Amino acid sequence: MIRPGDAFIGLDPRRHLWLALSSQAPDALIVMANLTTHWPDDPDHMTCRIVRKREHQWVRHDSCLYPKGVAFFNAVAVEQDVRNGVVEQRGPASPALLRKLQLAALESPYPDAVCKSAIRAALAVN
Amino acid sequence: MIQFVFNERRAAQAAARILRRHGKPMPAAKLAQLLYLADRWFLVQHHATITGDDFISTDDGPALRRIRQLASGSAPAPPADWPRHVSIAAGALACPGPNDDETQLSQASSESLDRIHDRFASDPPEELQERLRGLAEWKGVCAEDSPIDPRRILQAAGYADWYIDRVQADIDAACRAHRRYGA
Repeated sequence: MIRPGDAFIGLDPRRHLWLALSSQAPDALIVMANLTTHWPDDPDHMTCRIVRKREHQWVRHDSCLYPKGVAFFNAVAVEQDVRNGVVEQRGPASPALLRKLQLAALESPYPDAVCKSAIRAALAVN
Repeated sequence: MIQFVFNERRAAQAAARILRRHGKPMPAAKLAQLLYLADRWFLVQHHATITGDDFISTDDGPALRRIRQLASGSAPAPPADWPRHVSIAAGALACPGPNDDETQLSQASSESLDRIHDRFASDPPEELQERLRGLAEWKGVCAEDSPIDPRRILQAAGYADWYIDRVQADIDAACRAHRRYGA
């Protein structure tokens, strides 16, 4: 069972850090998103919430949520690939980092309404 | 080549939003043209697309591959979501009912669809086709439809190659994960 804040690498070939932003639904769907490099000169990144190196063991430089990639993932498939060694589970996000990323997704105009609803529900629980 | 992940449900909801805003039946070709312009606008402004469909060059101008099939009723596989959102009436397309399910649309997508509808929906079909054929990515009349790399559209919009590389890296990473794990 994947929980909000659980973190993974290996979901994409570039080994971005992916994090669960919602609770896992009964149908095994869960909202996930990845971090990407923060470019201070990029207009897309001007208003993002920056994740600093110290905020997670896998963050090597200033990063931010990639809001256009926020989507429902099949948690069963992710867990299967963890068992198969394709995906590696990393230490979970701290409550503060999870909240920062959830708020970043909710503030963004890119995630769809269903994703935002699931994130909002998890934010209320935490 | 930048490749997105096609989302039929989102594409159907995008089509329905345009049709609802239009308020009357719309020819299939015009709906397909408006969705192309919406995805193109979204790509240039936001570096993503709404439907995730492939850009292709056709004799009629640039188009979205699956949207064109869905709008014209020639999709190779029976669509799952499209008929719930788009119906055919007297040779034109309309919303089948008061279905306002827009759960797959983001705020940015909805705003872009409305903008494109309001700007282009009243243009005569010939004018719209000429506009499409005037876009930099159109490859002219040729024997077969051919893919358009979204990079070409970003280049035509004035983005530098180094910036497009950066954009593509993010798109590729997210789309690879979505293809394998996306619901």
